Amino acid sequence: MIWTGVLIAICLVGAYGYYRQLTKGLVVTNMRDYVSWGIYISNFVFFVAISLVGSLITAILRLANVRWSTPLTRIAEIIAVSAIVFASIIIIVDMGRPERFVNLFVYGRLQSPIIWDVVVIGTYFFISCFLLYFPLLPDLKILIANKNKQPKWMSWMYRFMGSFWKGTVSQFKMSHKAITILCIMIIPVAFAIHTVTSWLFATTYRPGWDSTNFGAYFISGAFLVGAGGVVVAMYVFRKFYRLEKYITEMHFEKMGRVVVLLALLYLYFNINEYLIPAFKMKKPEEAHLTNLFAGEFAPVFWFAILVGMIFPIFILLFKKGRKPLPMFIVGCMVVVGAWFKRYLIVTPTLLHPFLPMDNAPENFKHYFPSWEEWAIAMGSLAGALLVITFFARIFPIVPIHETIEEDETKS
Amino acid sequence: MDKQTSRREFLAAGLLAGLAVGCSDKNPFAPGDDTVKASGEKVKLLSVDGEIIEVDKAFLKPVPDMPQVTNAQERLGIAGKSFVMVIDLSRCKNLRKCQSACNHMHNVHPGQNWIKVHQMKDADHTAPYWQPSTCMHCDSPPCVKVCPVDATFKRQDGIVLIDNNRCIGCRFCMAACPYSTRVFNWEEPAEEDKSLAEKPHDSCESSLPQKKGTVGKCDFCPDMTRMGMLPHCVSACPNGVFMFGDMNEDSVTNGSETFRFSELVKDKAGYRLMEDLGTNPRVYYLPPVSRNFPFENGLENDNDKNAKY
Amino acid sequence: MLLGFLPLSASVIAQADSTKPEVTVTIHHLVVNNNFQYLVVDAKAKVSNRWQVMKNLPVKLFLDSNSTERLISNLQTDETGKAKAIIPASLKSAWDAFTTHKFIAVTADGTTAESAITKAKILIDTANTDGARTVNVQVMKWENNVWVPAKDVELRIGVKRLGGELKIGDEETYATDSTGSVSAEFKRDSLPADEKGNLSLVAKVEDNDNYGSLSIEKTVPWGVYFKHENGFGERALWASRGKAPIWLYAMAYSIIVAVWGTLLYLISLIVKIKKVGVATAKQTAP
Repeated sequence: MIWTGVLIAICLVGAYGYYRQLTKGLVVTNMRDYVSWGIYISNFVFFVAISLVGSLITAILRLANVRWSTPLTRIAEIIAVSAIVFASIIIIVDMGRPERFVNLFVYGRLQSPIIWDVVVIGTYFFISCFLLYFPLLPDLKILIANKNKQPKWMSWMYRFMGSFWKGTVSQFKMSHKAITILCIMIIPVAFAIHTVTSWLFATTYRPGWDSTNFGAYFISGAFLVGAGGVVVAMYVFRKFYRLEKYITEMHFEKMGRVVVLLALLYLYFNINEYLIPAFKMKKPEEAHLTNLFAGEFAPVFWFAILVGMIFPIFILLFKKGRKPLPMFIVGCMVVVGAWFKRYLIVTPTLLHPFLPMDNAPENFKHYFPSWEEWAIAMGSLAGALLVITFFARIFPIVPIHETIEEDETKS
Repeated sequence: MDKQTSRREFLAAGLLAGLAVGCSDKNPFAPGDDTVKASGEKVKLLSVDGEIIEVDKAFLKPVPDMPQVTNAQERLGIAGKSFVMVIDLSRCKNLRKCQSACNHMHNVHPGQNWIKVHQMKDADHTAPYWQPSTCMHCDSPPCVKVCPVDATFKRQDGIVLIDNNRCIGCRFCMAACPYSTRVFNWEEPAEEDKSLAEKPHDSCESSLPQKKGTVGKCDFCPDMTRMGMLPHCVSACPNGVFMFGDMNEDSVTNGSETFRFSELVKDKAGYRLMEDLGTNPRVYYLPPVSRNFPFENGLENDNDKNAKY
Repeated sequence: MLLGFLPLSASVIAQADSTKPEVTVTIHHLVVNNNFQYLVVDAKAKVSNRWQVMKNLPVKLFLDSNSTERLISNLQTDETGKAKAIIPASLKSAWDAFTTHKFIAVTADGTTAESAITKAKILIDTANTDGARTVNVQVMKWENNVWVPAKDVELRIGVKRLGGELKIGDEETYATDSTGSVSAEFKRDSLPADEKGNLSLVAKVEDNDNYGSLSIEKTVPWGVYFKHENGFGERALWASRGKAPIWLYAMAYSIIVAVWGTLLYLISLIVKIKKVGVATAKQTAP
């Protein structure tokens, strides 16, 4: 209850911040003409990154016939859906004229990467919803049949959603077919959403963004932060819903290996992304990279690299590090490090334009988010957590039917 | 300055003369008489040789009323024209009259500037110079490529314009522009000065009125060029730094001096900014050579110090 | 029949009291194509050592004398400190009476300015002999009921372009000789012109002390027509919607159709599952 209360409070503060932004304009943020994209955009990238977890855990592992991940699929999918919804919300928050949102559909230009982003995000949302729904159908039958105390509205909702599911052979055949198709389809779509999001930066000329590496770099980062998020959720749900029997230490052990692999992969891409331009030190890149390595942004940069990648790798290389509690801490480190990494991708580049920053007031040359921006950004994160929390209260967070099936096939 | 304005008078008079005596010597490159909105009211005046001529009253306005241009026409642009600008860096003394004129005539928010006068020094041993930069109105505009709603668009006369009734404020164009020329209306614009009342409003061509939450930039003053007049920065600069013209006519002028564009750029070794990015800008720069005044600070107008943000 | 006027541009600075800025008023007289004439009154003041235009200043303009029956117009200067006036038809008899006239401007606070002009005209002629193109301009003034040449009048000859005139040769200005003429060589090769190759030549006298401003135009076919191509209207990444490159349409729509087609198929699967479920329920129902 406290948890939900805190989250709702944060959301309300965020809503008030947004109200101020709607009435006064984006001037309440500290974004100005040079740093014209700030933590709303870095939050957007963060959300899109986390939403890739659905495709990883649910689809890739499923298609690879990995069985231990079955109990984790629903956690992954709800994180994915919630994250993609809030990605859309935070991007509308960043718009200077949100009431003209329909222009995107009425006057949309196919040449614009933003339109590509709108299409893929919308598509990914629907695929993720389907991937939540199909495996949920057998569970709904169990829930409907459940005689324990259940609020009337919940029973009604279960029946509305899936009373037609009888568990016949033909139904299972169709459902399995659908899930397989979805798993296959979600992988390229998931690759697409984060690649297209990375293209919002890579299609510009700016130092730090003008990189051919960006698609792969972003995707590897997304898989890492998604895996980290799942680890955190695993631990929390296991503890609070007493799911030790279903989310066992073996699951943490396996996820630990997945996270270490993904962290090493992301580290590889980071080395490519930063070391090679630093070798050349082209003029526009020079100031930007020096700023990151040893300048204004150095503390945040090394925090993101060390806490987000390097320490987790070391901790997880040891078997003791892959126990539930250390895994939870590592998961938090990965997620927090990733949030700051996204901030480092967006802001420092904007402070190094090609032409000198002058002819503008002094505060245009610096950026630290205002309280409204923090409130709204935290509000969006709280909102995403709220959606996950409410979902877990209404639907079983571990897929009941599939886990049972899994157990039966094993024995 | 008088020479510039009297030239403008001659142009306007040409319009008037054309209608007054039915003169058939119409300059094919000047806007035809049918572009001015006739009021219907006639007035009698005396010609030099004592003849009485009848003229529509609309022509007597210092700046004749133009008929309303639709949004579709604004998006198409003026046919047959190919606007270009040449900026002579050897003449710029950082007086910033261009900046104050442009800011004033477009109601740019205090503290922001559409024209930026940069203090440049390319390398340790090269010369310092002042570089005014406007929007480059690129022929391969990165800002237009990324706009999701067609709020910024390229016209047939070369101008890249912003429709602030359609802009959703995503600021992708600002990220995409390598010349950092765009500014954003972070809050409600300041109240318009009464002197702007004559300019067309709700028009992409004057960029008035400014709207909160939309983006703005130099527009090459299409409302002025439609009337055959020069953009405000060109008229405002006392040193003749800005030269504006039509590549299809192969000529640029700063109001007092007119040059053949191709000759000027060749003779003075003109160049474009960031040529290797492939944006194909329409603003050419003449290198700061043979400057006959020292490079100094402090001559600029004080008006841009009002940092409201 | 053309009456020329001898314009004399002179400004008189009136005495102003110490609190008000010193206002300077200038009167310009302009004639276009030897026919259309108008006057421009220019008001500015020196404020803290800088010239500033006087906006919204009421000015009365008179012909020859400062009396109500000789009022040309009641003017008010605009944002640029200028006001334009034409001579009304009612003053025809006064106008025809003399060759030299005086214009008087009186501002609201008593500042006066005067300008005297003599009627003049400017003529232009062109010749093209063996490829050598010349422009001949002559300035005449009206004196003792005859047109006589006006000597040493500075004038410019140019081709009309956007916002200004491009000089035809190397000289910035030309001065008329004893016959009041100027002969200038047209040196511009392959100057872009309209479909017929026509250019508009302009000869003008600017703010001459005696004759004011005169200008005349002539169309000559001395330009070359160039067909101007630009990328507008073609398919491009920077074109408007509907003009995207074909490869982009192909890629985007094929992907969208493939994915959404499959999603629609999945919806149909849900419907099928529902049908099976309902059928099974009917079967098992008592």
